[in-house]
Amino acid sequence: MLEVRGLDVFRGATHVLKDVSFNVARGELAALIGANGAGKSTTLLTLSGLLRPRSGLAVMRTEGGEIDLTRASAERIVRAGLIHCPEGRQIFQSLTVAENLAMGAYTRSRREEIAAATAEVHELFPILKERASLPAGSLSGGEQMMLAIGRALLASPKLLLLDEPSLGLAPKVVETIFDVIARLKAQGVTILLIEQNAVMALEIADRAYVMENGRIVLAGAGRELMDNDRVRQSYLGVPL
Amino acid sequence: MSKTVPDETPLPIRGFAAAALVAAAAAAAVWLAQASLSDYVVTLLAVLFLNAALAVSLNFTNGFTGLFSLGHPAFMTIGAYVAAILTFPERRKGTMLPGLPEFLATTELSLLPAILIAGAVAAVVALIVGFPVLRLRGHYLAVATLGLIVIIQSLATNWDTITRGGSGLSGIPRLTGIWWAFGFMLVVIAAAWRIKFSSLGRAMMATRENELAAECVGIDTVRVRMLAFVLGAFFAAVAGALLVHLISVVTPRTYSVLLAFNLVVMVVIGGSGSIIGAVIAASAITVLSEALRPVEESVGLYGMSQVIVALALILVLYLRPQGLFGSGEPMIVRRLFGGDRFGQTP
Repeated sequence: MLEVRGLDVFRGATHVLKDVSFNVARGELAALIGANGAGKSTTLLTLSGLLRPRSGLAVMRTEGGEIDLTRASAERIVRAGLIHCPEGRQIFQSLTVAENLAMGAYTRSRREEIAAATAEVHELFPILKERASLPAGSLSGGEQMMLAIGRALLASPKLLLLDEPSLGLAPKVVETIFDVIARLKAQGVTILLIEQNAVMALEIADRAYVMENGRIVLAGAGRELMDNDRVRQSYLGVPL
Repeated sequence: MSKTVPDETPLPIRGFAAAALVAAAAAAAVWLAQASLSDYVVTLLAVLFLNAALAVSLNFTNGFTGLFSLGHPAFMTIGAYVAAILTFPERRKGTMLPGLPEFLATTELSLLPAILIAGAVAAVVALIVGFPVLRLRGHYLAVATLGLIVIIQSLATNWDTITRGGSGLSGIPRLTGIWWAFGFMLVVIAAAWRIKFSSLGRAMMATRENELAAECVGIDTVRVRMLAFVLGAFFAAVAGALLVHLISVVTPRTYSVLLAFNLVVMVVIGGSGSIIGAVIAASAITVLSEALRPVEESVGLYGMSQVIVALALILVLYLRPQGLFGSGEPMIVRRLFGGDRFGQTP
């Protein structure tokens, strides 16, 4: 569904992504793990059209056709079904929870569909229904993360990019979030997940990539990487 | 969009009908005013309406979209000169502006087409200025629009054949009256209201709140900012054109940086993003500065009203930084005219 080949991205003068290649198949949950500054977020920003690569190829293929992510506008990429849920709970602080969710459906126009999608999100995160008329800025960190994911879901993602959904959250909330990610996968949403919490990511991922200094250094099935010595040592905190 | 606040009691009349009724009542008041009050007060009212329209139109950028534009005086100057040259009586153009190109020297338009062309010209200028600047984040727009005021001013001063230089154009036909000002204000308010509570308005406010998130939900933030800037410029130019057809003179200094400051103050005091707030603040400041004029003259403290306006701004920023209504509209008005809670600062 997603094919990335030889992607080179610069931010200013810094060469952030170097010859990055990977694939995500339809219905799959792929994880991208790696240390801070490895280039994970840059990868997602490039895929959603917010950064432009110097060279390389990134294509998403859906039943709706093929879209060149290196050229299409961010807006067209969203319309094509690639939804990026950015790092750090980027919500609209002074808008209410309901309004934030409604903004997720910005590119959609059928009211019944939006209402149905909103109901689904409310079912996944009941707290968002309870807090519907509160300003989003008043939510707790975990609730804001749920809102950010809920808003992404309202855009009806075919491919969902999740950037550090567990960042800075209490363990219990992290569990809730991962439960939802597992449910989304079960519903057939293709997901590309960035995580620092490598254990949890590798547990649920079908496929995983390890990124170091802007390069993909390892690839394999989630379970397989968990047993890899290098991964165990660097990311799982297991001494050799 | 789901309604988040249930209406307590049904109002007897809502939406378009309510808006029409309020407009009709206001029109009746205007009719009464112009029939009974002195010319001076009626002209002051017209200026007040135009100021309100200007403050509301500045809200497109400085309120809804969270940009900081100072460009209104530049667009008003453009609008004023374009419209004035178009409406100027043909027979007097020969002596007043002998250097005009043929097609301008022989045209004499009525007010409506002239102000529409004036608005369109300013919109094109906004497009040209906005194209490079609105791609950048931060306060580049403030700096660029400040520069634009200076550029337009020196253009108006030095392009003698079209503008008559520093002495400006005088004897512009007095085609604007209180009804033009009032009608234009209604048009601007209605347009702002419709946009604010539409999908475009939501996109503007989302862009203001969080640009990254806005782009992630599929909003083309550059386009949204451009639309806000161009719309504001259009209305500013029309207002500038209407005003010179009221005071019948325009010089390169008619609309200065000081005016940009005053308009920003109106928007901030009313609450950035609040339409009703802008109207109220614009009215209050217009009346206040006019009322202080005789006081200034009697005590010989010229510029005192400007100081008071600046003090009022500081006071508001200190005591109520969100302004009168935050970025929202007063509840009763919202219920009357229709419009959900969107963008309401709690």
